[in-house]
Amino acid sequence: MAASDKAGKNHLMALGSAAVLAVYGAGFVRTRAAAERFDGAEAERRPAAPVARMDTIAPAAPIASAAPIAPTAPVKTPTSTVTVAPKQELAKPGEPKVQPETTKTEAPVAAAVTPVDTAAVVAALRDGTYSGWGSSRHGDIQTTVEIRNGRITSATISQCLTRYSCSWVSALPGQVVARQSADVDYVSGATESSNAFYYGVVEALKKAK
Amino acid sequence: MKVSRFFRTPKGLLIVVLGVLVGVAALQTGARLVAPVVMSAVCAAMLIDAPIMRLRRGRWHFPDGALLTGLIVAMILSPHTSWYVSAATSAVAVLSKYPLRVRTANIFNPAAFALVATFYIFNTGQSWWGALPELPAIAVLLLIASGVFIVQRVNKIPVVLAFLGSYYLLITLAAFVGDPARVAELYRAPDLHAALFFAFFMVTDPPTSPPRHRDQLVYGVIVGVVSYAVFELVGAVYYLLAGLLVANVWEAWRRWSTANRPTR
Repeated sequence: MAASDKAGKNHLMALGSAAVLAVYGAGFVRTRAAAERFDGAEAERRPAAPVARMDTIAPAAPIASAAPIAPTAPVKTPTSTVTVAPKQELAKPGEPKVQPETTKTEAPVAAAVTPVDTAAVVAALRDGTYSGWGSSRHGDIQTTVEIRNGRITSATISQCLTRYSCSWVSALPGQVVARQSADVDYVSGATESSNAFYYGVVEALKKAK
Repeated sequence: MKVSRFFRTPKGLLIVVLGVLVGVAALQTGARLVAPVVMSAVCAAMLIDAPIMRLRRGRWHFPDGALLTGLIVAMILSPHTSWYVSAATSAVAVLSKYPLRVRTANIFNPAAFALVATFYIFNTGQSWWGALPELPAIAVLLLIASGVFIVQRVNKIPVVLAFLGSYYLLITLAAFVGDPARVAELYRAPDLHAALFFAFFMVTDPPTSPPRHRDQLVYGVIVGVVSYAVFELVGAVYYLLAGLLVANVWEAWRRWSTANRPTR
Protein backbone atom coordinates (compact mmCIF):
# COMPACT_ATOMS: atom_id res chain seq x y z
CA MET A 1 0.00 0.00 0.00
CA ALA A 2 2.75 2.38 0.99
CA ALA A 3 4.68 1.46 -2.14
CA SER A 4 1.68 2.11 -4.37
CA ASP A 5 1.11 5.47 -2.62
CA LYS A 6 4.71 6.41 -3.30
CA ALA A 7 4.41 5.35 -6.92
CA GLY A 8 1.22 7.38 -7.26
CA LYS A 9 2.91 10.45 -5.81
CA ASN A 10 5.87 9.99 -8.13
CA HIS A 11 3.50 9.83 -11.09
CA LEU A 12 1.83 13.03 -9.94
CA MET A 13 5.20 14.76 -9.58
CA ALA A 14 6.23 13.60 -13.07
CA LEU A 15 2.92 14.78 -14.50
CA GLY A 16 3.27 18.13 -12.74
CA SER A 17 6.81 18.59 -14.01
CA ALA A 18 5.70 17.78 -17.55
CA ALA A 19 2.86 20.28 -17.31
CA VAL A 20 5.20 23.03 -16.10
CA LEU A 21 7.62 22.27 -18.94
CA ALA A 22 4.81 22.30 -21.51
CA VAL A 23 3.47 25.65 -20.30
CA TYR A 24 6.98 27.12 -20.21
CA GLY A 25 7.74 25.78 -23.69
CA ALA A 26 4.56 27.24 -25.16
CA GLY A 27 5.36 30.65 -23.69
CA PHE A 28 8.98 30.49 -24.78
CA VAL A 29 8.02 29.78 -28.39
CA ARG A 30 5.31 32.42 -28.35
CA THR A 31 7.75 35.12 -27.17
CA ARG A 32 10.74 34.12 -29.28
CA ALA A 33 10.19 36.75 -31.98
CA ALA A 34 9.87 39.53 -29.41
CA ALA A 35 13.03 38.41 -27.62
CA GLU A 36 14.92 38.37 -30.91
CA ARG A 37 13.78 41.93 -31.62
CA PHE A 38 15.21 43.04 -28.28
CA ASP A 39 18.44 41.20 -28.96
CA GLY A 40 18.73 42.83 -32.38
CA ALA A 41 18.16 46.33 -31.05
CA GLU A 42 20.61 45.78 -28.24
CA ALA A 43 23.29 44.42 -30.52
CA GLU A 44 22.99 47.46 -32.75
CA ARG A 45 23.47 49.89 -29.88
CA ARG A 46 26.06 47.90 -27.97
CA PRO A 47 29.71 48.69 -28.70
CA ALA A 48 32.28 45.94 -28.75
CA ALA A 49 33.32 46.50 -25.15
CA PRO A 50 30.69 47.83 -22.79
CA VAL A 51 32.02 50.19 -20.20
CA ALA A 52 31.91 49.60 -16.49
CA ARG A 53 30.86 52.89 -15.01
CA MET A 54 30.09 52.22 -11.40
CA ASP A 55 33.08 54.22 -10.33
CA THR A 56 31.40 57.33 -11.58
CA ILE A 57 27.82 56.78 -10.59
CA ALA A 58 26.46 56.52 -7.10
CA PRO A 59 23.11 54.73 -7.13
CA ALA A 60 21.87 56.39 -4.02
CA ALA A 61 19.43 59.24 -4.20
CA PRO A 62 16.42 58.79 -6.45
CA ILE A 63 16.37 61.15 -9.37
CA ALA A 64 13.96 64.04 -9.26
CA SER A 65 11.51 63.02 -11.87
CA ALA A 66 10.84 66.20 -13.77
CA ALA A 67 13.58 68.58 -12.78
CA PRO A 68 16.14 69.14 -15.49
CA ILE A 69 19.52 67.81 -14.62
CA ALA A 70 22.33 70.27 -14.74
CA PRO A 71 24.83 69.56 -17.43
CA THR A 72 27.87 67.83 -16.13
CA ALA A 73 31.02 67.00 -17.90
CA PRO A 74 31.41 63.34 -18.68
CA VAL A 75 33.80 61.75 -16.34
CA LYS A 76 35.59 59.83 -19.00
CA THR A 77 36.28 61.19 -22.40
CA PRO A 78 34.54 59.58 -25.32
CA THR A 79 36.85 57.98 -27.75
CA SER A 80 35.31 56.03 -30.56
CA THR A 81 32.97 57.40 -33.17
CA VAL A 82 29.81 55.52 -33.89
CA THR A 83 26.70 56.87 -35.49
CA VAL A 84 23.55 56.98 -33.45
CA ALA A 85 21.58 53.84 -34.00
CA PRO A 86 17.91 54.46 -34.62
CA LYS A 87 15.53 52.65 -32.39
CA GLN A 88 14.22 49.47 -33.90
CA GLU A 89 10.90 47.81 -33.46
CA LEU A 90 10.63 47.64 -29.74
CA ALA A 91 7.80 46.99 -27.41
CA LYS A 92 5.40 49.88 -27.00
CA PRO A 93 6.31 51.95 -24.01
CA GLY A 94 3.91 52.76 -21.27
CA GLU A 95 3.82 49.63 -19.18
CA PRO A 96 6.44 48.83 -16.62
CA LYS A 97 8.32 45.65 -17.14
CA VAL A 98 10.40 43.96 -14.58
CA GLN A 99 13.29 41.82 -15.37
CA PRO A 100 16.51 41.32 -13.51
CA GLU A 101 19.35 43.12 -15.16
CA THR A 102 22.30 41.01 -16.03
CA THR A 103 25.28 42.29 -14.20
CA LYS A 104 28.08 43.45 -16.37
CA THR A 105 31.35 42.42 -14.93
CA GLU A 106 33.89 43.78 -17.27
CA ALA A 107 36.74 45.56 -15.63
CA PRO A 108 36.36 49.30 -15.81
CA VAL A 109 38.04 50.67 -18.88
CA ALA A 110 38.59 54.18 -20.00
CA ALA A 111 35.41 55.13 -21.74
CA ALA A 112 34.51 53.38 -24.92
CA VAL A 113 31.61 55.69 -25.41
CA THR A 114 30.14 56.20 -28.77
CA PRO A 115 29.61 59.71 -29.83
CA VAL A 116 28.96 61.40 -32.13
CA ASP A 117 28.44 63.18 -35.27
CA THR A 118 27.73 66.11 -32.98
CA ALA A 119 27.77 68.81 -35.63
CA ALA A 120 25.29 66.98 -37.77
CA VAL A 121 23.00 66.36 -34.83
CA VAL A 122 23.06 69.92 -33.51
CA ALA A 123 22.76 71.64 -36.84
CA ALA A 124 19.51 69.93 -37.57
CA LEU A 125 17.73 70.62 -34.27
CA ARG A 126 14.80 72.99 -33.93
CA ASP A 127 14.24 74.94 -30.71
CA GLY A 128 11.65 73.56 -28.32
CA THR A 129 11.03 70.83 -25.79
CA TYR A 130 10.71 67.29 -27.02
CA SER A 131 9.98 63.99 -25.32
CA GLY A 132 10.67 60.45 -26.36
CA TRP A 133 10.20 56.99 -24.95
CA GLY A 134 12.99 54.48 -24.87
CA SER A 135 12.34 50.82 -24.37
CA SER A 136 14.51 48.04 -23.18
CA ARG A 137 13.85 44.55 -22.01
CA HIS A 138 13.97 45.88 -18.47
CA GLY A 139 11.44 48.63 -18.86
CA ASP A 140 10.89 52.02 -20.38
CA ILE A 141 12.20 55.53 -19.80
CA GLN A 142 10.72 58.77 -21.06
CA THR A 143 13.22 61.53 -21.66
CA THR A 144 12.61 65.21 -22.26
CA VAL A 145 15.15 67.23 -24.17
CA GLU A 146 15.18 71.01 -24.41
CA ILE A 147 16.73 72.70 -27.46
CA ARG A 148 17.76 76.37 -27.47
CA ASN A 149 19.60 78.02 -30.37
CA GLY A 150 20.01 74.63 -31.95
CA ARG A 151 21.77 73.18 -28.92
CA ILE A 152 20.65 70.72 -26.27
CA THR A 153 20.36 72.81 -23.11
CA SER A 154 18.83 70.24 -20.81
CA ALA A 155 17.92 66.58 -20.71
CA THR A 156 15.66 64.99 -18.16
CA ILE A 157 14.34 61.58 -17.24
CA SER A 158 10.68 62.54 -17.10
CA GLN A 159 9.27 59.07 -16.43
CA CYS A 160 11.09 56.03 -15.18
CA LEU A 161 9.32 52.72 -15.65
CA THR A 162 12.31 50.46 -15.41
CA ARG A 163 12.87 47.68 -12.97
CA TYR A 164 15.51 49.69 -11.14
CA SER A 165 15.45 53.16 -9.73
CA CYS A 166 16.62 55.60 -12.39
CA SER A 167 19.22 56.87 -9.93
CA TRP A 168 21.39 54.17 -11.48
CA VAL A 169 21.48 56.18 -14.70
CA SER A 170 21.22 59.64 -13.17
CA ALA A 171 24.54 60.75 -14.68
CA LEU A 172 23.38 60.11 -18.23
CA PRO A 173 21.21 63.23 -18.81
CA GLY A 174 24.22 65.40 -18.05
CA GLN A 175 26.22 63.50 -20.64
CA VAL A 176 23.59 64.29 -23.29
CA VAL A 177 24.05 68.02 -22.70
CA ALA A 178 27.81 67.83 -22.44
CA ARG A 179 28.17 65.77 -25.59
CA GLN A 180 25.23 67.30 -27.46
CA SER A 181 24.33 63.79 -28.41
CA ALA A 182 22.28 60.79 -27.40
CA ASP A 183 25.42 58.74 -27.08
CA VAL A 184 25.88 58.15 -23.39
CA ASP A 185 27.98 55.73 -21.43
CA TYR A 186 26.81 52.33 -20.37
CA VAL A 187 26.33 51.85 -16.67
CA SER A 188 27.52 48.53 -15.34
CA GLY A 189 24.68 46.70 -13.70
CA ALA A 190 22.21 48.96 -15.50
CA THR A 191 23.04 48.35 -19.13
CA GLU A 192 19.40 47.96 -20.10
CA SER A 193 18.36 51.14 -18.33
CA SER A 194 21.19 52.92 -20.15
CA ASN A 195 19.80 51.58 -23.41
CA ALA A 196 16.27 52.71 -22.58
CA PHE A 197 17.55 56.20 -21.79
CA TYR A 198 19.56 56.28 -24.98
CA TYR A 199 16.60 55.29 -27.13
CA GLY A 200 14.43 57.86 -25.35
CA VAL A 201 16.86 60.66 -26.25
CA VAL A 202 17.16 59.40 -29.83
CA GLU A 203 13.37 59.48 -30.11
CA ALA A 204 13.17 63.00 -28.66
CA LEU A 205 15.92 64.29 -30.95
CA LYS A 206 14.17 62.81 -33.97
CA LYS A 207 11.19 65.01 -33.18
CA ALA A 208 13.48 68.04 -32.98
CA LYS A 209 14.70 67.59 -36.51
CA MET B 1 26.90 17.97 16.46
CA LYS B 2 29.82 16.69 14.47
CA VAL B 3 30.75 18.67 11.39
CA SER B 4 30.32 15.68 9.10
CA ARG B 5 26.86 15.03 10.50
CA PHE B 6 25.90 18.71 10.18
CA PHE B 7 26.69 18.64 6.49
CA ARG B 8 24.23 15.78 6.06
CA THR B 9 21.35 17.82 7.47
CA PRO B 10 19.16 19.84 5.05
CA LYS B 11 20.72 23.09 6.28
CA GLY B 12 24.23 21.70 5.95
CA LEU B 13 23.50 20.39 2.47
CA LEU B 14 21.99 23.70 1.45
CA ILE B 15 25.10 25.53 2.64
CA VAL B 16 27.21 23.19 0.52
CA VAL B 17 24.96 23.61 -2.53
CA LEU B 18 24.86 27.41 -2.27
CA GLY B 19 28.61 27.44 -1.72
CA VAL B 20 29.10 25.48 -4.92
CA LEU B 21 26.79 27.83 -6.83
CA VAL B 22 28.66 30.88 -5.48
CA GLY B 23 31.95 29.32 -6.54
CA VAL B 24 30.74 28.49 -10.03
CA ALA B 25 29.04 31.87 -10.50
CA ALA B 26 32.15 33.68 -9.29
CA LEU B 27 34.15 32.08 -12.10
CA GLN B 28 32.13 34.15 -14.55
CA THR B 29 31.11 37.15 -12.49
CA GLY B 30 34.53 37.60 -10.93
CA ALA B 31 35.65 36.49 -7.48
CA ARG B 32 37.02 39.92 -6.64
CA LEU B 33 33.72 41.53 -7.51
CA VAL B 34 31.49 39.17 -5.54
CA ALA B 35 33.74 38.53 -2.54
CA PRO B 36 32.98 41.79 -0.68
CA VAL B 37 29.24 41.34 -1.17
CA VAL B 38 29.30 37.72 -0.02
CA MET B 39 31.67 38.20 2.90
CA SER B 40 29.94 41.28 4.26
CA ALA B 41 26.48 39.73 4.00
CA VAL B 42 27.51 36.45 5.61
CA CYS B 43 29.65 37.98 8.36
CA ALA B 44 27.06 40.60 9.30
CA ALA B 45 24.29 38.00 9.47
CA MET B 46 26.31 35.58 11.61
CA LEU B 47 27.72 38.24 13.93
CA ILE B 48 24.25 39.56 14.64
CA ASP B 49 22.49 36.20 14.93
CA ALA B 50 25.03 34.44 17.15
CA PRO B 51 24.56 36.65 20.24
CA ILE B 52 20.80 36.77 19.75
CA MET B 53 20.72 32.96 19.73
CA ARG B 54 22.94 32.93 22.80
CA LEU B 55 20.46 35.17 24.62
CA ARG B 56 17.43 33.13 23.56
CA ARG B 57 18.83 29.63 24.06
CA GLY B 58 21.25 30.20 26.89
CA ARG B 59 24.28 28.83 25.07
CA TRP B 60 26.26 29.42 21.94
CA HIS B 61 25.15 27.86 18.67
CA PHE B 62 26.62 28.04 15.21
CA PRO B 63 24.34 30.51 13.35
CA ASP B 64 23.75 28.26 10.35
CA GLY B 65 20.45 29.93 9.47
CA ALA B 66 22.15 33.31 9.38
CA LEU B 67 24.89 31.92 7.17
CA LEU B 68 22.24 30.72 4.70
CA THR B 69 20.39 34.02 4.86
CA GLY B 70 23.59 35.95 4.21
CA LEU B 71 24.48 33.74 1.27
CA ILE B 72 21.04 34.07 -0.31
CA VAL B 73 21.01 37.86 0.16
CA ALA B 74 24.46 38.15 -1.42
CA MET B 75 23.57 35.87 -4.34
CA ILE B 76 20.56 38.02 -5.22
CA LEU B 77 21.97 41.51 -4.70
CA SER B 78 23.90 43.03 -7.55
CA PRO B 79 27.60 42.28 -7.07
CA HIS B 80 28.18 45.99 -7.62
CA THR B 81 26.41 46.68 -4.35
CA SER B 82 28.54 48.35 -1.70
CA TRP B 83 29.72 46.04 1.06
CA TYR B 84 27.92 48.06 3.72
CA VAL B 85 24.61 47.89 1.83
CA SER B 86 25.07 44.14 1.54
CA ALA B 87 25.85 43.90 5.26
CA ALA B 88 22.89 46.10 6.15
CA THR B 89 20.56 44.01 4.02
CA SER B 90 21.54 40.77 5.70
CA ALA B 91 21.34 42.50 9.10
CA VAL B 92 17.75 43.51 8.34
CA ALA B 93 17.10 39.92 7.27
CA VAL B 94 18.36 38.40 10.50
CA LEU B 95 16.69 40.99 12.72
CA SER B 96 13.34 40.48 10.96
CA LYS B 97 13.22 36.89 12.21
CA TYR B 98 12.68 37.75 15.86
CA PRO B 99 9.91 40.32 16.28
CA LEU B 100 7.68 38.86 13.55
CA ARG B 101 6.83 35.32 14.67
CA VAL B 102 3.86 32.98 14.91
CA ARG B 103 4.32 30.17 17.37
CA THR B 104 7.96 29.11 17.12
CA ALA B 105 8.73 30.20 13.56
CA ASN B 106 9.38 33.50 11.88
CA ILE B 107 6.63 34.77 9.59
CA PHE B 108 8.63 36.11 6.67
CA ASN B 109 11.42 34.61 4.67
CA PRO B 110 14.25 36.77 6.07
CA ALA B 111 16.12 37.29 2.81
CA ALA B 112 12.96 38.20 0.89
CA PHE B 113 11.84 40.62 3.59
CA ALA B 114 15.20 42.36 3.72
CA LEU B 115 15.63 42.60 -0.04
CA VAL B 116 12.24 44.25 -0.43
CA ALA B 117 12.88 46.58 2.51
CA THR B 118 16.30 47.69 1.31
CA PHE B 119 15.02 48.21 -2.21
CA TYR B 120 13.26 51.23 -0.76
CA ILE B 121 15.97 52.18 1.72
CA PHE B 122 19.07 51.83 -0.46
CA ASN B 123 17.72 51.45 -4.01
CA THR B 124 19.38 48.06 -4.06
CA GLY B 125 19.56 46.32 -7.40
CA GLN B 126 19.08 42.61 -7.79
CA SER B 127 20.95 40.61 -10.38
CA TRP B 128 20.50 37.06 -9.02
CA TRP B 129 24.10 36.38 -10.11
CA GLY B 130 24.22 33.34 -7.83
CA ALA B 131 21.59 31.66 -10.00
CA LEU B 132 24.23 31.39 -12.75
CA PRO B 133 22.50 33.59 -15.37
CA GLU B 134 25.79 34.78 -16.81
CA LEU B 135 27.11 31.31 -17.50
CA PRO B 136 26.38 29.36 -20.69
CA ALA B 137 22.81 28.06 -20.92
CA ILE B 138 23.89 24.56 -19.95
CA ALA B 139 24.64 25.87 -16.45
CA VAL B 140 20.93 25.97 -15.77
CA LEU B 141 21.13 22.19 -15.48
CA LEU B 142 23.47 22.55 -12.49
CA LEU B 143 21.00 24.94 -10.91
CA ILE B 144 18.10 22.53 -11.53
CA ALA B 145 20.03 19.49 -10.34
CA SER B 146 21.14 21.16 -7.11
CA GLY B 147 17.67 22.57 -6.58
CA VAL B 148 15.90 19.25 -7.07
CA PHE B 149 18.41 17.60 -4.73
CA ILE B 150 17.59 20.06 -1.94
CA VAL B 151 13.85 20.13 -2.60
CA GLN B 152 13.64 16.35 -2.31
CA ARG B 153 15.52 16.47 0.98
CA VAL B 154 13.09 18.96 2.50
CA ASN B 155 10.04 17.29 0.93
CA LYS B 156 8.82 20.42 -0.86
CA ILE B 157 8.34 19.28 -4.45
CA PRO B 158 4.62 20.21 -4.51
CA VAL B 159 5.25 23.83 -3.57
CA VAL B 160 7.89 24.19 -6.29
CA LEU B 161 5.62 22.70 -8.96
CA ALA B 162 2.64 24.76 -7.80
CA PHE B 163 4.65 27.98 -7.92
CA LEU B 164 6.33 27.33 -11.27
CA GLY B 165 3.09 26.01 -12.78
CA SER B 166 0.90 28.94 -11.76
CA TYR B 167 3.57 31.56 -12.47
CA TYR B 168 4.40 30.37 -15.97
CA LEU B 169 0.75 29.61 -16.74
CA LEU B 170 -0.19 33.24 -16.07
CA ILE B 171 2.78 34.57 -18.03
CA THR B 172 2.04 32.28 -20.94
CA LEU B 173 -1.61 33.35 -20.95
CA ALA B 174 -0.41 36.97 -20.97
CA ALA B 175 1.90 36.20 -23.89
CA PHE B 176 -0.96 34.73 -25.92
CA VAL B 177 -3.61 37.27 -24.96
CA GLY B 178 -1.48 40.42 -24.90
CA ASP B 179 1.84 41.68 -26.25
CA PRO B 180 4.44 38.88 -26.05
CA ALA B 181 7.23 41.46 -25.75
CA ARG B 182 6.01 42.42 -22.29
CA VAL B 183 6.82 39.00 -20.86
CA ALA B 184 9.43 37.70 -23.30
CA GLU B 185 12.31 38.07 -20.90
CA LEU B 186 10.64 36.10 -18.13
CA TYR B 187 11.35 32.94 -20.12
CA ARG B 188 15.02 33.69 -20.56
CA ALA B 189 18.19 34.36 -18.59
CA PRO B 190 18.48 35.94 -16.12
CA ASP B 191 14.77 35.85 -15.24
CA LEU B 192 14.45 32.13 -15.77
CA HIS B 193 17.40 31.51 -13.49
CA ALA B 194 15.99 33.89 -10.90
CA ALA B 195 12.64 32.08 -10.90
CA LEU B 196 14.31 28.67 -10.53
CA PHE B 197 16.64 29.80 -7.76
CA PHE B 198 13.70 31.43 -6.02
CA ALA B 199 11.57 28.30 -6.37
CA PHE B 200 14.22 25.86 -5.16
CA PHE B 201 15.90 27.79 -2.38
CA MET B 202 13.48 30.44 -1.13
CA VAL B 203 9.91 29.24 -1.63
CA THR B 204 10.89 25.97 0.04
CA ASP B 205 12.31 27.61 3.20
CA PRO B 206 11.13 25.13 5.88
CA PRO B 207 10.28 27.58 8.71
CA THR B 208 8.09 29.78 6.54
CA SER B 209 6.45 27.26 4.19
CA PRO B 210 3.86 24.60 5.04
CA PRO B 211 4.88 20.98 5.59
CA ARG B 212 1.72 19.26 4.29
CA HIS B 213 1.50 18.69 0.54
CA ARG B 214 -2.02 20.06 0.21
CA ASP B 215 -1.05 23.30 1.95
CA GLN B 216 2.10 23.47 -0.15
CA LEU B 217 -0.02 23.52 -3.31
CA VAL B 218 -2.06 26.47 -2.04
CA TYR B 219 1.08 28.24 -0.85
CA GLY B 220 2.85 27.76 -4.20
CA VAL B 221 -0.13 29.05 -6.16
CA ILE B 222 -0.32 32.14 -3.92
CA VAL B 223 3.36 32.85 -4.57
CA GLY B 224 2.92 32.43 -8.32
CA VAL B 225 -0.26 34.48 -8.65
CA VAL B 226 0.92 37.35 -6.44
CA SER B 227 4.34 37.45 -8.10
CA TYR B 228 2.71 37.79 -11.50
CA ALA B 229 0.25 40.39 -10.19
CA VAL B 230 3.08 42.49 -8.73
CA PHE B 231 4.98 42.17 -12.01
CA GLU B 232 1.97 43.45 -13.95
CA LEU B 233 0.66 46.07 -11.55
CA VAL B 234 3.71 47.44 -9.74
CA GLY B 235 6.50 46.59 -12.14
CA ALA B 236 9.10 46.43 -9.41
CA VAL B 237 12.28 44.45 -9.18
CA TYR B 238 11.05 42.46 -6.19
CA TYR B 239 7.98 40.92 -7.80
CA LEU B 240 8.97 37.36 -6.95
CA LEU B 241 9.90 38.26 -3.40
CA ALA B 242 6.62 40.13 -2.90
CA GLY B 243 4.72 37.01 -3.90
CA LEU B 244 6.64 35.04 -1.31
CA LEU B 245 5.98 37.57 1.45
CA VAL B 246 2.23 37.46 0.80
CA ALA B 247 2.30 33.66 0.90
CA ASN B 248 4.29 33.88 4.16
CA VAL B 249 1.42 35.84 5.67
CA TRP B 250 -1.07 33.18 4.53
CA GLU B 251 1.08 30.46 6.06
CA ALA B 252 1.40 32.41 9.32
CA TRP B 253 -2.38 32.78 9.44
CA ARG B 254 -2.79 29.06 8.73
CA ARG B 255 -0.38 28.15 11.53
CA TRP B 256 -2.03 30.57 13.92
CA SER B 257 -5.55 29.36 13.16
CA THR B 258 -4.46 25.73 13.46
CA ALA B 259 -2.88 26.41 16.83
CA ASN B 260 -5.92 28.27 18.10
CA ARG B 261 -8.51 25.80 16.78
CA PRO B 262 -10.74 24.77 19.67
CA THR B 263 -10.19 21.19 20.76
CA ARG B 264 -13.10 18.89 21.52
